[in-house]
Amino acid sequence: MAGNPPRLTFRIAAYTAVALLFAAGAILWFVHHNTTSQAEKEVAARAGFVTRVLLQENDLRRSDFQRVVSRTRRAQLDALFRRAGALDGFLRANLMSRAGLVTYSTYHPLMGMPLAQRSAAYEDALSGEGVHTNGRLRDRFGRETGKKILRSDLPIRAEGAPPFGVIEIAQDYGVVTRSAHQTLYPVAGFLLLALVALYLSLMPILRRVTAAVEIRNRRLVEQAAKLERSLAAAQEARTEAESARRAFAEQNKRLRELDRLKDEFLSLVSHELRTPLTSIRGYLELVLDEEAGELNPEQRRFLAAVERNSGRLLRLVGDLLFVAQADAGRLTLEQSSLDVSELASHSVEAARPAADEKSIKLLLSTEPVPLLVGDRGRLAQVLDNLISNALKFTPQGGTVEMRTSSENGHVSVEVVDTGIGIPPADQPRLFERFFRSSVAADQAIPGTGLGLAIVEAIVQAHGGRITVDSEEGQGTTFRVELPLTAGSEPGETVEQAA
Amino acid sequence: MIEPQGNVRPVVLIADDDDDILQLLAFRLERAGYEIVQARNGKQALSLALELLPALAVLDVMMPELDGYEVTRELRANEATSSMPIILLTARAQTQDAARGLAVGADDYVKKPFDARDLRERIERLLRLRLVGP
Repeated sequence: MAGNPPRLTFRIAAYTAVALLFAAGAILWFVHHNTTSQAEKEVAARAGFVTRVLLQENDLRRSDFQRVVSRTRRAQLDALFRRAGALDGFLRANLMSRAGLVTYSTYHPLMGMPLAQRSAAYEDALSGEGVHTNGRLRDRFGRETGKKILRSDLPIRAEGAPPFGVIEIAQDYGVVTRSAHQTLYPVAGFLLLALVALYLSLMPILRRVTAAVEIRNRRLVEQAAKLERSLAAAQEARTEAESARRAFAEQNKRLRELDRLKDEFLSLVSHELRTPLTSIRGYLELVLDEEAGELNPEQRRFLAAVERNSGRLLRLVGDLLFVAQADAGRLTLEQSSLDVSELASHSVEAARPAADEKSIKLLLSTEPVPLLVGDRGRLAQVLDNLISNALKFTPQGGTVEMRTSSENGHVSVEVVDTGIGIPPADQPRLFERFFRSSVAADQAIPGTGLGLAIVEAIVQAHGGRITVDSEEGQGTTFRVELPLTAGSEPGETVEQAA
Repeated sequence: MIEPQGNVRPVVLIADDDDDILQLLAFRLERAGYEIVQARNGKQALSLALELLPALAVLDVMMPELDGYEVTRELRANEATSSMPIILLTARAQTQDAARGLAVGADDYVKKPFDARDLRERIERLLRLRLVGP
């Protein structure tokens, strides 16, 4: 690519030179043609002039053109044409009759030969016009084999009458050539100089133009290369994107399949765990209803423990299923308008027996709050869960209080206890599934670690948030904020079987 | 409690593939004053329902052969049983299962484990509706 500029310059210079040489050749040919024909005319005019002089001086007679001249006359004519030999380039003169017979020639062997028969030039001459042709000097047999000549056939006639003969004068063509060259050479020289000057003055322009062209060429080549590179890159990117897309689609399909399997599994587990629990609790209920006979107090107490624990197992199954559904983003809310303060008072009343049992003071502090749209059952679950947590972690004689309030667009519920508190290190992980605070474990407080995860999932499904504020040994406050609309319209409330 | 018409106790078809649950249901409902017909799978439930035309059917959803949804659909498609009250019983807890049950034409939907009193009340309510209804 680097070798291109000189090569291009050279090529253009060569083209220019060839073009100029052609032009010069054409000019020279034209000049040569013109000067030659000009010279021919001049030379022929001189022949005509000589002839007219000869005729005017009566040196040529009519009889000289009618038959081959006598020996005496031949000698006289020889002398006459020797005088005419002063004519530049004069080679020969022939006198010819109308029939074309040579009556006299300065070259004696031609005399008596019928040389001009069937010659167009000769016919033209006889019809009255002087004719000039190029030809060759004839040899003794009349063949045109000698040097190149300019031949002038001039008609000879009396005033007003048709020509009675023709005088043919042969002049050396070299005279014409010399004369033409006298004009041609200076023209050619001048032309050559002019062309060289033109060529030399063209060179810098040429170089500039080729340099510009070259730069543009190089730029185009670079652009083409760049374009090609970017095209290749784009192609590569497309291919990559395509394979990535395919991989994504594949992965997506796999994930969907896994998701489906998980759903199926959960459904199955739920079914498989609930079915035996149904029998256990059903028959337990039968016994407790004394359908199989009266129970003594001890039997009733023992069976109550079985009933309580099968209930716990059932709740655990429900919680697991719930968390899994929330994880899959499949939590369905059965929405309706509801009053959070009313829900709070229900929850507090339901928890009162448990609070009384532990001698915990359970307080409710509500204010009228706007109705909000949400799932009544799920939100009740949240409040029940928070209260039961508070009761679990508050020692005897403590206080648990539930407060409701509303401020710009959301309703807040706070559950405040004077319990054992949550160590700061545990607080960030509080809402993780199966996470249990170290104090809960230390004090052997029962639980699965699912309660708060479920609470958070429900609150978030309502577009709300839950925060915790706790000090070890002082107490804990859980605060739930719910927007007045859960983000969707209140839907049809499907009756939930108990 | 339902008033037996002319000493004839209403016939209730119960279907479940779990024998313990089937016996439990039978015991509870016989005590409540119903004549019980038992089926151990969907196919049996369907043929018994068409043959005996019980006053009400309690069908488990997850059964071999035909599941509760399919039996419900078949019964609704048959003129003789198209308005028979049907209660679906299921251990599957998802809300969409309930919705699907109601969509195929069940009248009520009870989650396992069920509370015996609750189930009895639902059966009574449906039968009462039948007596005053069309």
